[in-house]
Amino acid sequence: MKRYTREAAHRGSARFPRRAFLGGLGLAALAPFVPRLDIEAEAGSPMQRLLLFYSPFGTQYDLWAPSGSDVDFSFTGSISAPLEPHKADVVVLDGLFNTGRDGGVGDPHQSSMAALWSNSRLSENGPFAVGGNPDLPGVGWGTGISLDQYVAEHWNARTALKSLELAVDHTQVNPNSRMCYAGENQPITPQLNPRTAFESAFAGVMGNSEAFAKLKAQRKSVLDLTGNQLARLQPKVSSHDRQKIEAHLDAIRGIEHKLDALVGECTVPGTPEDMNPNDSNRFLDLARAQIEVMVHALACDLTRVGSIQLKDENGGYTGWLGQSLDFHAMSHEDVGSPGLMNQAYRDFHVLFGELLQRLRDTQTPLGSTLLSETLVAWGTANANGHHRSGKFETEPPLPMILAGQAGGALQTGRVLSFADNNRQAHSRVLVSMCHILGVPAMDGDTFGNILVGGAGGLLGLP
Amino acid sequence: MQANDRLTPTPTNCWGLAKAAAPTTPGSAALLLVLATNAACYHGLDGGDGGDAGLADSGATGEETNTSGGADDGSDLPGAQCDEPDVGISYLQRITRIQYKNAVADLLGVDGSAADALPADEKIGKAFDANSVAAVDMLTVEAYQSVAEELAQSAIANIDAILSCDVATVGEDECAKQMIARLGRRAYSSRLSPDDLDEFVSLYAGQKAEDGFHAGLQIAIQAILQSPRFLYRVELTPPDAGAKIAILSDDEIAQRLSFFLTHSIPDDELLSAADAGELSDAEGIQKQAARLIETPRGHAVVASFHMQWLGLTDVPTLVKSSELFPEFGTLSASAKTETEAFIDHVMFADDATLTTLLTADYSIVDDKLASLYNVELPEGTPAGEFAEVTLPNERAGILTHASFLASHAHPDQASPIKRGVFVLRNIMCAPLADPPPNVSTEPPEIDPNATVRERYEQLTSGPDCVACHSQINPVGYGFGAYDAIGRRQELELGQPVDESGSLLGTPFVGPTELAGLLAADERVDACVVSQWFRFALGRATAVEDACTVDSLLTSFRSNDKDVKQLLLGIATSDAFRLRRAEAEE
Repeated sequence: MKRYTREAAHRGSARFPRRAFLGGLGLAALAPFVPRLDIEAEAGSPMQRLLLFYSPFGTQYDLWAPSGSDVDFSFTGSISAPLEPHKADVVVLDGLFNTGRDGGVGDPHQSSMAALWSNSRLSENGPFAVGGNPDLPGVGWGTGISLDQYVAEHWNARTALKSLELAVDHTQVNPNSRMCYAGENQPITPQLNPRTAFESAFAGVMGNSEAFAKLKAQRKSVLDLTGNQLARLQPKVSSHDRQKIEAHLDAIRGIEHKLDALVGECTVPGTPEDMNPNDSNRFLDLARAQIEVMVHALACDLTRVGSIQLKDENGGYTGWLGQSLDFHAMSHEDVGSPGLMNQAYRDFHVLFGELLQRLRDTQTPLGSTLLSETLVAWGTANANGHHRSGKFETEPPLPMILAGQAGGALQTGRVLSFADNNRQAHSRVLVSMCHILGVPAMDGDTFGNILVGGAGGLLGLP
Repeated sequence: MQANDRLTPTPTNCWGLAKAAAPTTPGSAALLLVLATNAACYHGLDGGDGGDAGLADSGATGEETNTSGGADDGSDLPGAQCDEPDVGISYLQRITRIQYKNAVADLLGVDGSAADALPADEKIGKAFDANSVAAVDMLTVEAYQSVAEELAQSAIANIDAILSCDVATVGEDECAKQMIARLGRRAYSSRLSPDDLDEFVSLYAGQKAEDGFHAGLQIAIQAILQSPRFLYRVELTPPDAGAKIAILSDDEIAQRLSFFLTHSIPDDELLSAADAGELSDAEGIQKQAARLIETPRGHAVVASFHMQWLGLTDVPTLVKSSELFPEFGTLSASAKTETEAFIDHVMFADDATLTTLLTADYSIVDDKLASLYNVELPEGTPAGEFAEVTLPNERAGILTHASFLASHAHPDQASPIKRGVFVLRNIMCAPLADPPPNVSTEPPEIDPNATVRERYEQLTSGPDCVACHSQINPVGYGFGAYDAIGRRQELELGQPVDESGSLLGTPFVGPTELAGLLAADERVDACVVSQWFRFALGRATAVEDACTVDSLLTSFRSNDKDVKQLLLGIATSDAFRLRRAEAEE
């Protein structure tokens, strides 16, 4: 059993063994935070981060699509207008389709959500009913690793958190509600509660105190014991169940590593308000609180890979719009009104704009901004609310936006558009993201197990 | 809320057919045979490899429901040979949130509500909680960690009740060791291995050396609650050499029994029975099962099954139009209580039969529901109290409860489709396919000049719709007099409401007659047996379970559909007492 043995060797006065290039900057230049850069890899390679963003039910394409030319464009539609101030920092991808909609098992919400960042099918014969019928074969979880986890594994940055998954207002235990996967049958549950996310992520950097040291020692001793028990159990169970035990061991290693790595200090954000994480009336507040947690976690270098999932393909309720309606039904125009739905779409853009602004406003130790060092990718599983119309080929394009310069690897301020008769598989964007982040894609320059998109990145990226 | 809009190329069928390798019981196979005769409404699953035309063809010749001994038409339906005991594979199950909550309360005598912070469970077939597929992730394991820390802290506040020895007599360390062994025995449903015991004891000792006796006990409790032997229902007894099927040990039977019938760890009496070797035969198992059903946790489990099966778990949070149904806000809690109280009464104070659940002429209501149902409470019943009342002739059994009628309706109007689909799928286990693509599944607009039936007929009269909706709608029309919150409306547009319906070709008028038809329908028996089987085993039914399910169904019928007897039957069945460790090659 592989164990992390790296102890908190750099405590005390020399908390942060600093690299030469930092020496001249001095602490003042590092304000407002002191990051943990002791684990930086070879000097000279630019720092990169990856942040995934998701919102449900696509968009209303006519009110979303930018106008103008590919290099001189405007967000004139009422839905995307909130991004107009940010257009220099984005690449609009106009003309994609989600490969998860092209065959495979599961309903459009399940298959497209699983495929969004993994380009992988759902497994067959699982516990999740398709259409609610328990006597038909249901579907299982996704069958492939998602891009964020894949990148985190390749980077292997020894940050406190391998990755940080946050969600906002409503998730459920169903493939239509999970977009991050550590591997086949290993969906990652995102944290819905900003307060809990904050406490979990910042516990160590907040309190380098005796009490925390004690808690940490206790947790480690219990985790050690649990790990030993799992390791003894593993060879005794059936081959199928061994994988579950291994995943549990992985989780324990992750927690142990996080405990070990939490030794730094940085500017910790204020503790988020204690909100009911399922209160759709507070959707915007919950989202903003999660954005704060994420931006600070990146700024403090607690992680280099994160995701923020706004709701899910079920959608929950729409309290923040002034009427608490079934959001999924509203996306189908069963309840509410198109105007209300467009307001929801617009609010997602407002939040995305705020996220970009927060990343832009945050200086990094390298003297640039978080936004310039991060690749932000905004995806949605289906093109619009009429995803039941079946033939996704007749739907509008799947909206997708990249943002940030990814440490100089991505040229922003442009639109990449593909005609309706030349729709591109979104899986190619995943391959391009690997290229941008300096991570080899999978065999033959692909990503995931859905083959329809073919090999290679998206033409024009990076 | 759940998407019904599965992407399917060109299904013109209503009845999707389970794949040959998919969970199928003789009962449901028989159902398929019967349904297959509705030619317009049948073909295999779309997608090329899913359909099984052979089965469909052989089914088309079957004219009667065949329910015992598998197929007699020469087809290779499962269940044809029952000489050798067989059982479907069971994967390692992680305990559910409610099981965790009950278990810590039973183990430590603490309030288990800290467990509400654990991530939600997976479900089998969308209905029943069970964690049998996904592996845990870091968030889940961290949640177990923090919940265990919180519970261990509460336990220490009450530690004298947990320690069963006198520290002054036997000493702290011996007392701690005894506590660990005893808690471990219950939490694991088996004795701790020497390795496990040693590790817990040294964890205790290390912490005690730093922070004292109680700190040592506290960390030991934390560790027990995070042990894989507690969080997973581990079954390790191997098959005999060369065999694929293992006979569960007494401890493993105790674990299955308690998690099935009490959603918790075994109690002391059950463990004693296991220690005494009394769970190696059906008689001993039956005795314990019969006892467990009658415990408060047993009552709760029976209620929980029915609430999950009938799609009623969300009743307290159902949203209805506040303009049309302003009274529903306070009614929903009453509606849930009514159904739970009714189930409990039928199962534990009445005859415990499926027939009574479906057709009882009484229910248990408070003043709000009495007014909704237009019945009188017994004189002197205080407001907010529940009492038994005789229902008017137009209502019968659980399908006319406000909870059921409101759950299967839209926020602003009743839905014949939702009600029809629910009866066919969940009560009859009919493998109804999803709506075809390219159709709207929006409810029709409310029209002051057209009845619900007229509007739905209009909506579903298209050539793509009619094949299925000619089966679905007539079931739902039978509920036509009941609005979106389950209130009876005698008139619609000034005319008496048309309550005539049809259950797969058999005409009926109103839900009372429908309940009678369902109570007499063999397909409903088979469906209930297979639902309970899933619930009990925490997994889908497999081909290898066919003989077990078939024999349960035969007994269920000969026992007048006594549900409690069915539970005892499941507990003593081959599928419950045996385990297949590896999948069939």
